[in-house]
Amino acid sequence: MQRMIPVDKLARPDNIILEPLDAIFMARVDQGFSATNVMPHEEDFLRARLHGIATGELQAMEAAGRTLFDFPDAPWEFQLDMARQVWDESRHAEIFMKLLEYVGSYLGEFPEGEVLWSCTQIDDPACRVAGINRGLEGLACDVFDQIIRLAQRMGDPVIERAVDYVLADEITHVRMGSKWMRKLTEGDPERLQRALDFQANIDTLFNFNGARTTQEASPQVELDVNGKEFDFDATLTIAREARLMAGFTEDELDRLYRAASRSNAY
Amino acid sequence: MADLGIRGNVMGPQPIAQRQPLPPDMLEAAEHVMTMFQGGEVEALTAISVSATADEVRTIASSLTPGRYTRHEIIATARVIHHYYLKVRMFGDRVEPFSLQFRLGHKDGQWLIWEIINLTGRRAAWTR
Repeated sequence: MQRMIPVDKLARPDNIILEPLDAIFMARVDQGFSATNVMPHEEDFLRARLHGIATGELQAMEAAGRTLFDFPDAPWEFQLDMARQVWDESRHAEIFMKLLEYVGSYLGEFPEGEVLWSCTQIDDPACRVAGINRGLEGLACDVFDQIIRLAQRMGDPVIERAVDYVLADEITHVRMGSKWMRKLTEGDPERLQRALDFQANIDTLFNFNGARTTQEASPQVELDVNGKEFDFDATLTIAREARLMAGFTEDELDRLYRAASRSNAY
Repeated sequence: MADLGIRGNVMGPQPIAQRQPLPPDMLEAAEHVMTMFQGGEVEALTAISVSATADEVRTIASSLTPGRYTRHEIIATARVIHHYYLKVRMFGDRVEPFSLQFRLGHKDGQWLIWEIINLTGRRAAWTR
């Protein structure tokens, strides 16, 4: 069985369309939209965002399973944590596939992006958990926190509670990532720095050239969701409280804020 | 407030929106595109491609022997806003299937090919 599965060998049934992130962005630009993921003020936001999360959960499940398989010499407790994450992510995938039906979408309505899987293309378990558990799952905290707030404004407890349930697990996954990144790099500051640099690259990628900001800095736009009008964030917002609960330090949050605002400058 | 379902009813929360069907005129355009590929209509296909994709369309269309593929099937669709990806497989007698994927978008009153890729023979999960 192959280890370190590359992006173009990610197995999917024929009826799913996989696309690189830059191709999806180009499809948006061709229609006069920004080269980012779907933004809160767009008509497709709820469907497309939940779809992106559903496919992301599938890839997270596969990634945790791959990390378990790719590093057979890793500590037993690390393998157990990865196995636990596979279980969590499979549950998340089920939840989000149900939520897709709830908002009038379905798995496959939008292309699945390859970018999450591309973040697994590293052969060091410390880098792997830094990138996936801290970088991507940290992003998940941001995304989920925003959807929960959106659902609260919509007055929709189904979405609110389902996503809150998943967010609780994501916070655990980030903590697992922090724990193992540090344990696996104990006594090897260069290896720790490589892991942090790998995470930083992923954080920068998902700053989407300024489309991720702090909640305070996010411009507000008028939304009309299912007939309910309210003001909401125009950007993806960094979930400070969730990230603190997940074990990010104030310093790390400051670095993330600075990186996000630097992206703004471009 | 969302309909959380009646406790005595197992159906639970009901959808707050309905699925969006694929535009019939887009599907019609896709069928026309596939008919042109099967018939080897290189210039006609190039004429309905945006300039950035025309060369790739020409390359793929020119590689096909007209009439070799006599039927096709749309395997998958997906959309980004109002542009539609279609994954299509062509079949013919005593010939390996030919798969390609393209993106259709409506502009200036017609559906155009904005992106295309030949999926035939590409490395995939089940190949070496």
